[in-house]
Amino acid sequence: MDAGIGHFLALSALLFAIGAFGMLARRNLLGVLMSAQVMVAAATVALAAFARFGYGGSRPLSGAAFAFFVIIGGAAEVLVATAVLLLVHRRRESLDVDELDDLRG
Amino acid sequence: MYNLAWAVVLLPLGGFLFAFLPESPRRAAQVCITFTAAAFVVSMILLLYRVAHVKDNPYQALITFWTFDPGTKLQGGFISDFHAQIGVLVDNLSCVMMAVVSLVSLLVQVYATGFLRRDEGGYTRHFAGLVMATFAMLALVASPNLFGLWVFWELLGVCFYVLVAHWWDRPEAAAAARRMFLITRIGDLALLLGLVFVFAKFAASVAQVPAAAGQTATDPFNFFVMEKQFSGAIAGHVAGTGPRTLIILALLVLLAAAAKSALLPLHTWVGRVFEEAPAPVTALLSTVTMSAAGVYLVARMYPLFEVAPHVASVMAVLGALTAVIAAAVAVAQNDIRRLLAWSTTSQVGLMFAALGTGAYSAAIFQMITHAWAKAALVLAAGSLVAAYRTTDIREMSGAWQHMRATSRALAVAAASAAGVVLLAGFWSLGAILAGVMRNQFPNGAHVAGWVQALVVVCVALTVLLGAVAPMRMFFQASLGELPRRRGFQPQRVREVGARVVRPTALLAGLAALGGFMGIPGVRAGFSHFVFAGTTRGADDHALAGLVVVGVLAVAGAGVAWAAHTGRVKVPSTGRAGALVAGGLRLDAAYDWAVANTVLRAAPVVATVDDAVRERVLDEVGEVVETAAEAGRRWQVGRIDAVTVSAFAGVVLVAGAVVLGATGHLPFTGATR
Repeated sequence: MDAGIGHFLALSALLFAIGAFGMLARRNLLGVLMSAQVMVAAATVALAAFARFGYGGSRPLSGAAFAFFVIIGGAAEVLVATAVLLLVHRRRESLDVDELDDLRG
Repeated sequence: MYNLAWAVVLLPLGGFLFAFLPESPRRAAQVCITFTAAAFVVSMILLLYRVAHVKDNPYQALITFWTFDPGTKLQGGFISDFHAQIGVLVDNLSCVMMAVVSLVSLLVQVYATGFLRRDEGGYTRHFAGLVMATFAMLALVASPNLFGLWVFWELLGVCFYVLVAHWWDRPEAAAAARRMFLITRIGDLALLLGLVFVFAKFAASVAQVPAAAGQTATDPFNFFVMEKQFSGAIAGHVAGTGPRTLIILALLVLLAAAAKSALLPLHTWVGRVFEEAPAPVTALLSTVTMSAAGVYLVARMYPLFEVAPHVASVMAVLGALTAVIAAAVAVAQNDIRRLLAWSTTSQVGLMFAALGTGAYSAAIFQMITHAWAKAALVLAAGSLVAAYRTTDIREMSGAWQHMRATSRALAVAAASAAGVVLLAGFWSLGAILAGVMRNQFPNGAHVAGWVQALVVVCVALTVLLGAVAPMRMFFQASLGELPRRRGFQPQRVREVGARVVRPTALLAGLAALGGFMGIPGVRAGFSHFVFAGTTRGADDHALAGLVVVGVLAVAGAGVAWAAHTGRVKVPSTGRAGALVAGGLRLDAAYDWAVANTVLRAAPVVATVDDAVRERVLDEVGEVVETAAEAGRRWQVGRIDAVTVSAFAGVVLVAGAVVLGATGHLPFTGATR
């Protein structure tokens, strides 16, 4: 059986669900960040699949182009977020999200 | 080729934008100068190309970038004829103006790098303002229609408001800038009214004028369209218009030009601006921007004045009286800045006198030679004031030995402004006198004999008196020994630096030699290049004009020498002179009028303002505050809560999309 668009979308949905679950369930900020990256990867897989199976209409490569942008954006995000994490850890000796509520209104 | 004109206009704008990128003020100044220099180079290429192709005259290239189109919805309505265009117009006049404006601006900016102290605040702002003013003036002269001209006319006023108030923390400087802005607003308003008037009277008939090649709509404000409309109006071909329409319009245009160029009743801002603004700003303002803008407006609207000769007579008399009165007042001034202010007013008056009697080419020529001479004078005066720490010319002397370059530039520029034989001012003043004696518009119209006689006498008197002030300034500042007075530091009397001296000297050189292009009788001279209508300028009376100017200028210089050596006492102009020098009490009258209208109305407006604030704005504020207090409880500041609400939002949106696509939502059912 050849892999069709449905398989890729199922993979994407699975990845997204894993990421979402992780984001809600993890208490460690590093875990939350990793879960967010899994969700980004889910979106990338979906975009690449759309491009591969010709859902781009008159612009067949737009899905692939989007995927590249998402990858670049994700890389930048990880870069900044890791730096923030490092600083948070240095100041508070902890990465437990239950303790981080400084932004309360 | 003519698309290059875009670069001339837009390069200074680029300079303005990029000036704010570098952090160092020195770099910002370099950016401004580089862009202005590029604009000058391109404008020179354009000008030389026009000169080389002068045989194609009369030639205009109109390059349209964008045409305002109100669309078909309003078809048949009043506004549907509003097809104002953004573009550039390249003809001989705009080519010459672009080259002169960018050159003088470039030299002034170079001067300013040496003149202003970098550690002072506002250095970047000063250069950005200079380059923005240059952009405004270049765009103004390149505008193909009155609409664009008006836009940049206003921009020019704003730029100089900022520039004149450079030392804004001094109340006098702020007041001078404010007064200039408010008085020139009168002219701005007149020009806006003129614009509305053109549209109201001529927009309906614009369909009769064929659109230019490659264009779908005819711009009612286009200068060449207006030219056809005006001649149609005078011939009775345009319904609802006639000679009276043209007279009203011409009066509005004249008022606009008079306020910008400071003709007599509206001149009161000039002296204060010269006193308070930095020398580079004054040099730019008095030569190629503010005062030149008024002259340029009249020159551009010349077809209007040709068919409204009565208004042309008013302009000639106004210009001539301004010229002679201001020249007389300048003679008695001891403050170097006030002397230059009055001298400028007088020279601009001459240009209007020439325009009012049909001497179109001569007026533009005079504007250019005056720009060189007066810019050199103002810049040299700035150096002198910086060296001597005073603005009184009686307390300056000895610059010939101690500020060699500046005083020599001053000598040349003063002699050129005075019209001493063979220098640039000599040729242009001669052309003005000849034109006034010729008294003929391109269409054959002329002003009445007595008006012409008055103007000729006034112009001749202005040449005589106008020679005295700059020459006296030169003699006082340059000759003799250094002054001795308490607190004077002779070692301070030296050149400020090469960046200040070189632009001054270059402008003085132009003021000396730049007249070659206007020598009458030479084939393809200035009047054969820049002329109104389709007839090249004539050179009759040229010799008489030159001879009279030569004699009068030398006589004026002689009077200045006699006054300097004390053989002739400079007459105190007495109460009448003080009255004129003080602005004819017009400032007080303006202040009184403002105090009795605007300031009386202000409390009423303030009451309304307070009531609105208490009843409405405070209520709004409280509502917002209550809402904010309620809303902040939702901001728990916890990552899990935020994530949950984000997912809840996604689920809601996705659910709505799914339900909508399957037809289960009432308001999306229509898509099926």
